[in-house]
Amino acid sequence: MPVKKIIIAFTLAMAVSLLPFFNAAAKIDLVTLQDRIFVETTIYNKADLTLVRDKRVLNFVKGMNRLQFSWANTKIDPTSLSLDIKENTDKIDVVEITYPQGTRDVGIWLIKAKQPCRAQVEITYFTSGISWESYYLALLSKDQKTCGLKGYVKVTNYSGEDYNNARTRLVVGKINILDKIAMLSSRQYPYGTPEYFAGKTRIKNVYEKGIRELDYARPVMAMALTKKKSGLKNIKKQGLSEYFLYTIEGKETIPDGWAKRLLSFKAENIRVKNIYKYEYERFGQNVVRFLTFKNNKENNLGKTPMPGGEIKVFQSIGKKGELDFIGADSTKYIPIGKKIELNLGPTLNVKIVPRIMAYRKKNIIFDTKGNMSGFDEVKDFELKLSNFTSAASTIEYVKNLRSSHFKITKMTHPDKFEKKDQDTIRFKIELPPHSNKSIRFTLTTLRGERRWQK
Amino acid sequence: MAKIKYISPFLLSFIILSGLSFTAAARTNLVSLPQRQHVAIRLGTTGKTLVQEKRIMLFKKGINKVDFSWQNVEIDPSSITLTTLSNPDKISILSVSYPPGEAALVWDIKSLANLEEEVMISYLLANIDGIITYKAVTGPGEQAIDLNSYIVLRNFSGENFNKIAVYLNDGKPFITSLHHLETKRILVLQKQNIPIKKLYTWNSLKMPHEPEKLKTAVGIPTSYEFYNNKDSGLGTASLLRGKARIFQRDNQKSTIFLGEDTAKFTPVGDKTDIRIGDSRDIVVTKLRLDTKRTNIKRNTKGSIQVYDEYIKNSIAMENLKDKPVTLSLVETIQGQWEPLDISMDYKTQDHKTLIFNIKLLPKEKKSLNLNYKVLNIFVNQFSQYNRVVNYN
Repeated sequence: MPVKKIIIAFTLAMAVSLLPFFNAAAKIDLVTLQDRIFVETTIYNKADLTLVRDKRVLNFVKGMNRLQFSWANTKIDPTSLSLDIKENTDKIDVVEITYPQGTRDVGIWLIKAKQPCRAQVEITYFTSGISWESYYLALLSKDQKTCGLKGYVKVTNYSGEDYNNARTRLVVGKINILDKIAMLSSRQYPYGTPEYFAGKTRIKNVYEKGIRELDYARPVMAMALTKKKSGLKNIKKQGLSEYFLYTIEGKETIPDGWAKRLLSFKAENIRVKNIYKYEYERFGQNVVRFLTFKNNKENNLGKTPMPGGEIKVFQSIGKKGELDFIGADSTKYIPIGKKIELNLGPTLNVKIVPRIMAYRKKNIIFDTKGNMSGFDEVKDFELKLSNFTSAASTIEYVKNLRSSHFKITKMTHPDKFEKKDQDTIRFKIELPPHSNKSIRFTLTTLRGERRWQK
Repeated sequence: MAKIKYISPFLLSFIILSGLSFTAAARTNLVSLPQRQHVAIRLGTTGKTLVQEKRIMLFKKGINKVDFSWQNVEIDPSSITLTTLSNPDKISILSVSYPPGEAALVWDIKSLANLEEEVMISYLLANIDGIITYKAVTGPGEQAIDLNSYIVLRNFSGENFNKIAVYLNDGKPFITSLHHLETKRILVLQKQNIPIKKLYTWNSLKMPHEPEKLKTAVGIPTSYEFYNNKDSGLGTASLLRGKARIFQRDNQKSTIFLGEDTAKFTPVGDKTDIRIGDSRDIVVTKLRLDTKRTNIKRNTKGSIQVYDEYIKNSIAMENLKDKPVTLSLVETIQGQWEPLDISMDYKTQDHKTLIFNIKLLPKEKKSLNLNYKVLNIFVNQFSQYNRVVNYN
């Protein structure tokens, strides 16, 4: 694929033809292209939006200056183009930007200078096609009580533009956007056309639509990974408003079509818990293993939130680096201080078998016509819990009764019982390695009109 | 290129001599439509823009015919008007005719004398409009914004305007050019240090109640609120509806993009809010702890007709940020209800909407008990009255 470049062009002929309303006395000139002194990309996670900042030093003549900016074959949103004067702001004014007739992907700024001068300008715009994702590798210790965690970020560039020596920043957060940048960049006209075009109502003005950005970051088919191993780079993290900004040390070059992976953080000795859950409404008859730990300082984490991404969990099983792959899950955004819960899938090493040991019907009631109108359904439950692993495990049994009219009685372990909400109960118990336990309780559910009786 | 066509005096004269009948005694002349002296456009909200052209016309004493025609542009024929400005007492419009099969009209104008007259021709032109966009930049503390407002002129009308005065809602015009198929964005308002208030709003009707169960992190909608009044540095004109993009300055001499929203029309004195995104560092969980029916009344067949319901809810809130926040919690209770145990202060926005403004310190957790009873819940044919249906 040929390299595409954004052009800030010197085109005198076009200047003369496009400004008919200036009288002959006004000086019209174009600003000559100068070297780029700085470029920065700020890439948003999951929004397909990158804010590009391009700093240059330009020469202005006295009077009107025209600066043409074109971006053919890239995915720049023309509505986001902005030009800010950073020096001599009292002498230079940005009058307007025109998207001329008959040409696509071109914007022309009209800049008025009170005198000839030189000034640093900053051009910013949004582009689509650059994305980043995070993923993690966890290494569980042999005793399954601690783990090490490495976080990575992968930046991929499909914007159509090369970004050379750019300061690269990544934003973690959920922004509200109305329109996808990819759509804005592909429109025929920068701001669309008037609502009532050619006498008929067109499709809704894009500013009427409220499109929330909810897409999950899709796994990227990288065309190439890092070209060569360079030294480990630091990633500085800063909280801003509702977002976190990760700034990659130094500058990065990410050509169009390439991807780059960087280590975001490393932490050791994270205390983890293994929880085995049985919840028929969510997991069927499986016992599912969850690995949990907190994103906090005690765990050598807790400096920034953890962005969502895939986590692969391995376990060390030998002294010579032998590993076992335990499972993988996609984690959501984890704020500082919050617990992360990884679903590692069904397991056969812990068993939770609920059985109904006795069944009765009591308190049968009848209506005025003698028809049955309600009763109490009584079940004696026994939960058989078995831990076949060599580590202590926390076992959780959750039952959703789909009714708030019930009673739990005759519990063998009342201290392990919790009524989560009006129709959900939970037993949570620690089981030592290679051990069994049984929990018994009686569930009485009121059916029919019995629900309304005192 | 499409353009408004004007029939030249020579051609016009030719048409009149061959096609029209009038008595030799009447003094009838055809007035040529001279060049525009000044054009103003006033942007509307209906997709059609009012164009007003000033021209100097020469009227002869007697009846004058003025022909106005157009091609490849969409002018609303019933909107075309001609107003005399210099000597309105000496000139009167006798009639307006629409020739068949033509995009044209002919004015019959009577002049009491030979006059050089300034006239205003007004008409609604389609496919040209202006939309508003905003750019706001806040500082690290998020206490105020610098607001820029832009007008984006879009001209797909078929007409080229070499020099026009564009009027906005504040009555102040600016001069620019606008050719067919051209789009132009111009800064029209620039204000700094407009105070803002940052809002976090959790609405129990719209938000998931148990976010821990979801695969993706749930965020609390976050927005900036500000007033369009003198205290905030605005207050001179309504703020028109338009797309607003918000940025924040960081400590790297750069900015980040916070989010965008549609700013609603805000008259002077009113407030508006712009949503920037979601905060995923504030977590709200609502659990229904109990529901009990009491005071049940039945018919002779034993069917329930009406009852009361006691409801117990618990709402847990956690601020995981390093800064204090004020969370606005919105709860809706339909029907006839009474509070039993509501453990925090609230305001009632209306009969069913409660708003709690809850301050959370950094890393603080709070819990709200929301216990109430709903009275006289009807079943069967009157169940529609369990919520207010007619607000008028």
